[in-house]
Order: sequence, then C-alpha cells, then structure tokens
Amino acid sequence: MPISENGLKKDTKNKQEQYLLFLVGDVLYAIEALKAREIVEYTSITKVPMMHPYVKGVTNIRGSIVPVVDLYERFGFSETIVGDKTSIVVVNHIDADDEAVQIGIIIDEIYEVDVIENEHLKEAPKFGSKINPDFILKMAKYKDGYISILNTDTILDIEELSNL
Amino acid sequence: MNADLELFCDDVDEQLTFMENALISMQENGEDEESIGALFRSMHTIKGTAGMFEFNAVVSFAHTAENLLSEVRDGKVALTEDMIDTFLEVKDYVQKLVDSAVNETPLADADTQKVAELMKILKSMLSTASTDESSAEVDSVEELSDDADSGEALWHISIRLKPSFFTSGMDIINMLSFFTLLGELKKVVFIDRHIPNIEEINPTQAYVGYEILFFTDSPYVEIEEIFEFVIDDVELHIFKANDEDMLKALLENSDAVEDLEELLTKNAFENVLALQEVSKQVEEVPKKEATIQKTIPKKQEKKSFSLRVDSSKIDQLINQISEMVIANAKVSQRAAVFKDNELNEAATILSDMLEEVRTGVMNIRMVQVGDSFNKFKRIVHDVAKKVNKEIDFEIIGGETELDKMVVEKISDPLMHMLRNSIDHGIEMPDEREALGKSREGRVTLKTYPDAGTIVIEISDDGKGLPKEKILEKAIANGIINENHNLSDKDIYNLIFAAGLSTAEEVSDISGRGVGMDVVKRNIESLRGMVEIDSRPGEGSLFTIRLPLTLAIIDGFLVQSGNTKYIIPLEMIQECLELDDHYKEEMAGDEFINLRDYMLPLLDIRSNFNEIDSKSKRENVVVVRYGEYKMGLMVDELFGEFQTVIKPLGKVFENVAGISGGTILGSGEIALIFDIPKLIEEKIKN
Repeated sequence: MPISENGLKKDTKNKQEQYLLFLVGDVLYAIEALKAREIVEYTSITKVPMMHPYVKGVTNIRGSIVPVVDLYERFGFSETIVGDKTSIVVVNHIDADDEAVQIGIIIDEIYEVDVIENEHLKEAPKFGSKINPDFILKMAKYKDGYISILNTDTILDIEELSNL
Repeated sequence: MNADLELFCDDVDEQLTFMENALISMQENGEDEESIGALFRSMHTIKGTAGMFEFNAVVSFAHTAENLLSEVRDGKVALTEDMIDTFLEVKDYVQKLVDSAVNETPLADADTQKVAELMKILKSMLSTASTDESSAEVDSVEELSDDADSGEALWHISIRLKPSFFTSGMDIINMLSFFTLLGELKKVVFIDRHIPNIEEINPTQAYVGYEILFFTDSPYVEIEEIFEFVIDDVELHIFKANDEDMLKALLENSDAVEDLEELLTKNAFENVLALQEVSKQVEEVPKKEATIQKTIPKKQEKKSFSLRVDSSKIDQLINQISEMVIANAKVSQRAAVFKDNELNEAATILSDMLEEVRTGVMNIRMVQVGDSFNKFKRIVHDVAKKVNKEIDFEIIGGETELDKMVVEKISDPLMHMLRNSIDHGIEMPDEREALGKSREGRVTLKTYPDAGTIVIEISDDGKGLPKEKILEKAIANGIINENHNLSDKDIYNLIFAAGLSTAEEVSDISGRGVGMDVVKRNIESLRGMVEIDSRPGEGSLFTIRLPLTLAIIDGFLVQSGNTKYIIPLEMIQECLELDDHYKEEMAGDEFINLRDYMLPLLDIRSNFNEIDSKSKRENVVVVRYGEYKMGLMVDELFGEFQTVIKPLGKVFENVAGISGGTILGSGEIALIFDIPKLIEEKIKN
C-alpha cells in the first residue's frame, strides 16, 4: 500500500482512520482526527493588521496566542457569519522547518467524528471541485455521497499565510 | 552525558567561577581571608566531587593546589602576585582536566606537560617545599601538622556539630562507624550538655558533640577525610593525644556548661590525666588566663545559595499565573453581576496577590550584571598581558539588574568589544607616555538603567577610531559611495558593517574582520541597539541599549479601531489630546509642533488599515527611541499594563511594527508595538 506523501497514515492492520467532520458553507468536509488538537467555541479574535483577509487574527487558547484562519474565506468565498454553532478547530500544523505550529480554523458547525475505511478513499479530481484542488487531500465515500478530506498542509501553508 | 556528570560539570563551573572571582578580587584589593577561604573551599569541593567519579588526574591536581592553599590560609606561606597568576592558570587547567575526564578524551600532550609543570610550581611554593621535594607522595604535606611519622598513634578527636549539621544530610553515627574501619575507638564521650530544655529544642538543629580517643596507624588526612562532606558543618579538632598544646587549647576553649576537663577526667582520657600531672608540677601557670591563639572565632559564612532552574519552568509558571488572573477576572465579573460585595472584595485581594506573585516570578529572571561581568576582569588581564599593554579596567554599576538570558547573550559581544578596545584602542605604554597620557590605558564598562532600558557603555581613552581608514575601506568594499555625505558618527558606525576590520595586522585577539557586524546582530536580536562615538586621540565610546527583560515589559494599553495595542511604557514620553488647535495647525501635514519640536505623527488606524471608526477623541502618544521621537495617533488610552510578551508566531513574522502579543485580564489579546521598527520603517519611506 503506498504511503501518501501528504502524511496520511496508512495503517495496514487497521485499514481505517478517524476523521473530524464539519460543515463550512453548508458543505461537509473532513480532516484527519489526529490533526485536530481541540475544538473551542468561537471566541473574540484580535485582528492583526496587514494580513490577508482570511487570516482573521489571533485568539487566546488557554494562555497561548493562536492564529485563526477563516476557512470559508480561505476557500475563496465570503467571510463566515458567526452564529451559535460557529467553532474554532485548533489544528496541529507541521511547518516547513518541521516545527509544530497551532493554527485555529473557523468552521460553521462540528458534524461528528467518524471512521472512514481506507478503501473508501479516492484520489481527488485535478479540477472541477468547488474549492482549490490543492486543498483536497482525498475524496472519501461517506454515507450516500462524497466528502473532501482537506489537506491542512496546503491550506495552512505558513509561507503563504504570512506573505503580505 | 548522564545527569550526575552534568551536575558535576555545573558544580565545577560554579566553583571555578568562585575561584576566579576570589583571585581577581585579591589581585585588585590584596589578600583577604574570606577570598582565600573561598578559594580553598572551591578547590576542596572540586577535589571531593571529582573523587566520587574517580577522576584521579583532577583529584591529584586539585589536591596539590589545595595543599598550597591550606598553607596560605594558615598563614604559613604568603600569597604573592605570582601565586595568584599560578592559581589562575591552575583554574584553567582544572577545567581542561575535568573536560578531558568527562568527555573521556585524553589531554593534549602540551597540556599534560603544563599540568605537571604547574604541580611542580605549586609544590615549590609550599613552605615545606625543601623537605617534600624528595618524597613525591602527594599526601605527605598534610601530615606536617605533627612530626611526620605515620606509625600507630593515639589521636584525640573533638567534634561539635554545628546547629546546621542536619542540613548536610549526613548521619553522624554512620560517620563514627567509619572510625572502626581505620582503627580502634578507645574512648567515645558523648557531649550532651548543650541540649536545651525540651520546650526550647529546635528539632532541625544539632546540639551535640563527641570527644574521642582513637588508636590508628592511619595518617591525619585519612581521619579528616571521614568528615570530608560535613567539614563546614562541624567544629573539628584532630590532634595526637600527646600534643599538649592542642589539648590545652581545646580544654580552655570549652565553656562552663561543657566543662570539658572535668568530663574528660571523669571518663579517664589518658592524655587529659597526663596533662593534669604536668600542670600540677608547674603550678604557677594560671590555667584560665593562658592566651589562646586558636580561638579567634571564624567569621560567620554567608550561606546564600542559588538554584539552577530551567527557564522554561519559569515561563510555565508565568503562563499559569496569567491564566489565574484571567479566571479571577471572570470571578470579579460574576461578582459584579450578582452584586456580591464580599465576593468582589475577595477577588480584588486575590488579583493583587496574583500580581505580586507574578512580579516575584518575573524577578527570578533578574540577576545583577556584576556576577557575570566580573569574568571580564580576567579576560582583560589576559589580553593586556598578551599584547603587552597596561590596562586599568573598571566595572561600574555591577549591581544593575538585567534578565539572566540577556546577560548571557550580551556576554560574547561585550567580550569582543573589550578585546577590540584593548587591542586596537589603547596605545602601547611608551606611546601613551610620549603622548602625555598615563602609561595605563583606562577601559571602563559601565552599566546603568535609563528610561526603562539598560545602557552598557564601554569606553577607553585610547587613540580613537581611524576615520580615514574606515572610510577608505568602506569605499573599497563598496559599502558606501565615494561622494558620500556622512557625519563623523555615521562613519564610525560603519564598523558595524560586515567585513570591515581596519587593523593592519590580524592578531589572534581581534581583527579578523568578523566581529563588529556579529556584535551588532547579536545586540539587535536582544531588541537592543548599539552606537559608537569616538574622538581622535581621546578614545572611543560604545553605547549598548538593551531592554530590561525579554519576557515582560511595562506596557501602556491603547486602542485604535477595534484593536488594542500595547506601547512599551519606557518609550513613552507623554500623552496629549489631539485637539482642534493642533488639527488646524496640521492642515494636512502629518506632524505637529510640540513645544517647538516638529513631531512626526503616525496614524495607527490608517497605517494598519483599520476600518474607519472615527472616535470623538483622538490622542497622541509621544514615543522616543534613542534620539528619535514620534507621535502615535490612537483612539483611546487605557493606562499601564504589566505585559507578558508572547510571540505571535511565524504566520505574522512579516508584520512590521508588531513584536508580539499579550493576553489581557479579560482574555482578550493586545498587540505589542515594536517602536524601533515602526520608526525605522517610517524613516525608510
């Protein structure tokens, strides 16, 4: 079984992985559950000047300052309208220097944590998707349809985020 | 390296630093008892701990040095200038020996030779040098307390546990049992007369002692060694039982409570009985009035000690305290909602206390610069010797406190600059004399707090910087244009550019063309800055300006648009309201006339692309950094705030003018202005 270069773990014994599923702009997306460090309710965010609009600023996650990215805006859509269920998923991101960086992503609603069999994973199409295909790690068959498993490495690429 | 070894290395480091400080201080102020004592203890500790690891080379070397030191301490040998120099070298070679032992790498041949040489020198300095030279045995020296026969003998050992004894963690009973390994305990008398009434007993203090008659063929040193680890925690007298002088001194030294003579007589200590025989015969000697040399009480040692703590543990503490402050703020809020005055009061008290705790924890990071800067004395001494110059080096303001991390990081740059001053700045003694200066060149390292920063100045009264040469070189290296328009100060500051060393000859001290640029970069990485001024023939002055600490600043909280910002308080000169009068005056310009100073303004909102939310009041915060001044236009002023600096992380590393963030009591985040960067940015555009 090939090892995905995006670091998606392929465990040959357990041919399934846990994923965190959430809604962004009414569409269901997933990230590998291991990448999510914690989920917090949306809290106040301090804007940092001169950044891309989708970099919303920083917030206080139990004493640490964590940058926050609006996922919907990052996908090229509009700013997320904050509601009761809006949450921030703190993602463990490994940057180009192999250092762990925590980044929060704003999502509309947490759906659930579920298991997806590896055999249900498919390569993402090179084009035709609603969001930048680089942001999609894999497509997965889930219930009656397909969901995109997001590639946090490209979505949260620090060089791109920090580039003014 | 395992933990024990690491501890050992730390310990050796510390002891060697003590040693060096003691030596340097004696070099300057002459011999003093305390320094000699410190010196001796350092050597002794190193010998002891190295012994535990069986680093025999270190042990025997340290031992030789210790022997000489003990003679110096006892006044048998006078401490000379040469001896201090030798001990300085000894210090270096102890380090080398320890390094080689710890890393299990053999010592270089030259070093081994030097060690042997030093040992010879040390031995030749002993008062008993002539007799000892024949017997190469290292231990022989310590036996000189008595006639050097090492046969069987009866020893009288008198032990009094100092009150602090229990803190040594040793068990006196175990130590006594060691005696039976060396020989035979003839008599042991337990001295319990100092034990107070039960109401007055402090269970952490020791009150007892022993008088022992001990028969052994072991030499003095071996008996003393039993007490090696508690030597500072006991009063110990070991002498041969037939040594009447020592016995007399001991007996007369005992107080009325103890009445040692009576006690020992009762227990039939042979030597005491014998002594009484003698004194009966010579009755005219009044017992109590005999003068006693040995009883001068030792100066009470200051028992201050330091802990080595991983700095991340302190950071963690600070984080946790910050969390508590936030949690407490929520309690206050709820108290206000429920109109619960008592709860509110309790929360206020708690928040005051938390603030105190936080300040206390912050203070852990602060150290006096003198502790660290004193090592420069040695370096200056060595460098001066190497280049045959005479230097009068002075450290002023050693008591100034600075973040430990800053002190450590500034050390190398300072060392480099000092070397430069001596090597390039100060002229040769003859040259100086010809110029009408004193032969000794003055180099001063001065530290003082100024406007919330710490200023370190290195000044010398040497020949000053060669302006023409710097210019020539800078032009040759393409750093500046030939038709430049630089002030003298600008030219001098060119030496901080890479690749500009003007020394004609490259010496092994300085002048490899790397250096000043690295110095500048190091200082800037500490959020500091460095400047230079120089006058031909009069000397140079380097001024380094550093923040007090890297972890915390006193901040001033302001708001612009929807974002709260912290301005480092130390940079704020004043705040003023931008009223209509000023606005009229500005008439589209971005500066105001502040008491005849044209103050450039920076509108934070427009500069940082904040959404337009004009507030009624506009305020100007006047900041100063070095010689530059600027006014920051903000909406609201909130006041002072103790700010724990937290990095914003890589995502925001390209945002100029923001150096980090801090978490406010409400849990909100405020951004911290990097004033120097803001000013720099503005000047550039």
